Amino acid sequence: MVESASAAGRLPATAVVMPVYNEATVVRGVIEELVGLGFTVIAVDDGSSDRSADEIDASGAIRVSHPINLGQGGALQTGFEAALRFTDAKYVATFDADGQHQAADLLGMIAKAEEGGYDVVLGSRFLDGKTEMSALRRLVLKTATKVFNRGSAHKLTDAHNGLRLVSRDVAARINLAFAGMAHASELEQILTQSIYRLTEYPVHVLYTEYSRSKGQPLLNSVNILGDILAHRVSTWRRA
Amino acid sequence: MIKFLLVPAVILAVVLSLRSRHSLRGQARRKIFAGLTVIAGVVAVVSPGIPQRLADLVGVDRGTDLLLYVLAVVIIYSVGSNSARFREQETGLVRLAREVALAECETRLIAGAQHFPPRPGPHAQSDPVVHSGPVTPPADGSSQEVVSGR
Repeated sequence: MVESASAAGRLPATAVVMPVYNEATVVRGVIEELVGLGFTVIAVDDGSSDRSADEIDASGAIRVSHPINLGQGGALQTGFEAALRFTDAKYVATFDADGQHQAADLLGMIAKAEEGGYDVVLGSRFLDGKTEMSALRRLVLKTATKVFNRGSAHKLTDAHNGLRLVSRDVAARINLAFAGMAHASELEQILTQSIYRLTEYPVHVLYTEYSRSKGQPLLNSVNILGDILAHRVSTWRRA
Repeated sequence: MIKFLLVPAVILAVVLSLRSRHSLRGQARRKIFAGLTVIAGVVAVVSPGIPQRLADLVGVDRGTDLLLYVLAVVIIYSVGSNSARFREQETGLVRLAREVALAECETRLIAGAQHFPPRPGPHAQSDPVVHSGPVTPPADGSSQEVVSGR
């Protein structure tokens, strides 16, 4: 599927922003696949203490290394700025380093953006039944999505998916204030402004043995939910 | 009576403490507060009757209770202003780290471009992504902003 996509079309210049924090064992393979498809990968090494930086350098990505750990939101913002500064990509994508995202999905998102003239394409795990997850995780994510959707112009089916594609203009307007956990809801709040042409694309997330062991245990969903609520309250106060 | 004093005091403490800390007015306000605290402390120690009289005035039974209320408001203000200050510092630190990372990457990219001149035509054409950034120096001078701006 990957081959047909790259053979069939001319890929519009796309920079893939990938926050990397202690992913030395998998990051190289993930980047090499994307580089092989013709993407410029900007790997933001977020102060990793393992060999992630060496692996990134060996993989053919542009490496931007934070001197200290800033959190995923901080890494994404750095990646967006690096993409604008070091490339003339038409699109900027975000992609997880742990291998849970599929390059084929990203190609599909680019194709959809090209065809429909979309500014923002967000991956969603709930548009079709391809992603398998526990009932509890599904419930928590659905609740998070409901809370998030209140009062935003676009209704999303999946509020926390790391696979996103935005046009260069949109990337230039992103300015994440939250370096830590709340960045995902903040980013989506920016991206779902009604001025952008936004769509969702069904993606297949692989909860591999590795990604399960590493990230996102269910308790983290509680963190995310708490962050969204806190974020809602704090932005409401400021508004 | 004390309710009507305490509730606004708590709200005021939260709002004032979360406001920007950079204004001269805010700095002056904090210095005045510090001075008043010292004076109030000395007065309360030297003549313990004064807190009691103040307590009677606002309808609190004992002077120590009044002190407790005031202490609570002060702690609320202190927590609020500390968290505001912490967030400001974190924002600055994040910006600084980001600029360091981008500048270091840019240096490496420029050095790489000089050491390894652009690869011959066929590869460059097959590569759909164009790298023009590394060879152009940053025109916006954003790295200086971090040093001098804040």
